[in-house]
Amino acid sequence: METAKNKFSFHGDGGALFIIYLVNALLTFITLGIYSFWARVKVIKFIYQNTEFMSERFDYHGTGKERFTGFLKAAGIFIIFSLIMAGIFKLLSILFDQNIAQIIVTLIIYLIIVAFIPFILVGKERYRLSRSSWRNIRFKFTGNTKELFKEYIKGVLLCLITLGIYFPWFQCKVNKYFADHSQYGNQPFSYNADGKELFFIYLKGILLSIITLGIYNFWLRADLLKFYYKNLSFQNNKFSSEITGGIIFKTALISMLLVIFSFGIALPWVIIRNIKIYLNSINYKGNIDLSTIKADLDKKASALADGLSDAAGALDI
Amino acid sequence: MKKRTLMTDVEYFDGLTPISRKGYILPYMSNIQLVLQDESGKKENLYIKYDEITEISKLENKSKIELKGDGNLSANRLIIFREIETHNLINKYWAANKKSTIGSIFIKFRNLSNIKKAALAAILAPCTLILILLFFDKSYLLLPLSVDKKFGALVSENLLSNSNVIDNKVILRALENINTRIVPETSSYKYKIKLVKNPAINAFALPDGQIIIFTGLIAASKSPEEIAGVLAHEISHVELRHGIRQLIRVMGISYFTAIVIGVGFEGAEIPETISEIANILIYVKYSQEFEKEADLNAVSLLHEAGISIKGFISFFDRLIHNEKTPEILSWISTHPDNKTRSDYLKEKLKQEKFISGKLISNDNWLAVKKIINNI
Repeated sequence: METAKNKFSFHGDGGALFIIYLVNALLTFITLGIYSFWARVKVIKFIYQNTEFMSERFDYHGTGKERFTGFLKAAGIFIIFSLIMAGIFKLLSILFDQNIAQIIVTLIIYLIIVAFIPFILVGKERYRLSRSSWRNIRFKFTGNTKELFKEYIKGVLLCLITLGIYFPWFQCKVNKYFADHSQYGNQPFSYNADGKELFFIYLKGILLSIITLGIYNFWLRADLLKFYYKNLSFQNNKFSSEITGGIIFKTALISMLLVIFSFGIALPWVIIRNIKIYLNSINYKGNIDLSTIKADLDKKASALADGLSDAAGALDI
Repeated sequence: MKKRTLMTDVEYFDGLTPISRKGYILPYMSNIQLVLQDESGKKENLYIKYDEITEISKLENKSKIELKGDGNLSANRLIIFREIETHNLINKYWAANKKSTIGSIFIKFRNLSNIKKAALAAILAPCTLILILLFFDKSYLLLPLSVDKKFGALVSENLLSNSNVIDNKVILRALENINTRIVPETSSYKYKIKLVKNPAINAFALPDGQIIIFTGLIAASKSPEEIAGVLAHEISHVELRHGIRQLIRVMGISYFTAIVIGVGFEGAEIPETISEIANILIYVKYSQEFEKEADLNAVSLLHEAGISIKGFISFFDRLIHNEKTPEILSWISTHPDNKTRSDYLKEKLKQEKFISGKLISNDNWLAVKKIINNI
């Protein structure tokens, strides 16, 4: 049987995105910032709805209301958290010296923030996939925080011990974790990569980047993207990417020039151009067997993790 | 009996499988009839109520109606068709079936094209700007004076810890004497003057009533009246609560530029740079406004105390000669340039109808200058 090659394509144009941006900026201003949650959803929706695969568009179902309530909950959590920390600080400064209390409380805060990172990563991916669809079937993320947390602790420790040599294997593990736990409907994606191969990609890339004063970095990025997609599959069919270092280099250079010489006004057009170039390079080798796919909804996914990272961003953490 | 209506071919996704079914819809005022046909020609009838619709949208030439899911598996359902008349009709019925007026206004706004939305928003934006300027800028009135005092104490702690504070009784007493004459009777601040060893010609006030004067300023002054002008300017900053107002403005401006510039493009660096530049420019503009306000208020304070503003003016006039800043840079400076300041003060001088007496004795002034020159 001949294997079909299905490409991704993008149909959005910069003018439309520019107008969305304009409406967003004005409405956000009028509502003193509250509209920003709806504004962000508008942009994501625009990008998803203009992305096509096998003659059907993707869609995004997140709502501004969800994002807003997620943010409010997160803000509540932050307030309670800082009150508790203030309480602990008061208590410790009675028991010990004020400076010691400050050091202990700072340490506790950092530890909690680090422990929260996997939770936020998983929560965001769960929310994003549960609100993404194609042919009106939602995606789903099934990974749990504990697993990612273990992977991170192990990976970071091994990277430290091996002076970074372990990093390519760590990256493969993280990619595998995210891909293997992603589903379209009830069917999972899968990622199987060889850390050794990635190690040599990095080795070659870093050495040549040093020799070429960083210019080879664009080609390294192309190699990394190709490596990612060729190891990703769905229904036993593989993806692939045709991107090249030359394309990435040219795109980055043109983007930079356009943005600088238009004082940022060309940004929407530049974004569209970038999305087009990256999406059009992705292939899926084969056809998707739709008949075996059933809906599998993630009803518990919420925008809380996004809210937490929004709130953290607002506090500049 | 139902009236005849537009019959439109549709594609229907039930949200349970990715495979769509073909059929047609008949939109009525009270509901939409959906007829699904399978390959054998067997028909299935579904009736959709308008309150099941969550969204109606159009992308290129495809219209899309999103429906709440039915049953336990609450996957949303989707109807896709291409006829624009049907799209408009269903939209009209949907808005008409909304029970609340807010709901139907909301739908009407959502159905506007993006360009119309932008136009409408562009009309509303200046109104918001005025509201912000009116209310937001007055919001400091809601904060009690104790906030200014705490804020000032906090700043001075950081500021003075690395400075060389000089505790010279003669100079401080002379400065206090001038200061007490200028401070309005109604003032609720306790002023405290601090002398800091620094050759720069500068002085500033903290929101809690601390006035910090550099030795360089006293060295550059030719008369007690000149110092009185500077003190009146600093007292005005405190009385008009410029410190806390500046803080509110800086926070407000950075909030607004951050939310308006780059919303939806999180992670892109360009909008951040643009908003930072915007921040600085607006900040500078406001800061110049405060300086002018303090200058004009200083004139009133001096006049009420029976002190001529001639000293205040001569101080600026002398600075003009020493000025090194090219004029083109003045619009990014936090203060109006000295020439401008001297000009509007000279305008005020015309109102001066009294002859002022001596602020401090000649001997006292000479003693102050002598000590300053030896520090």
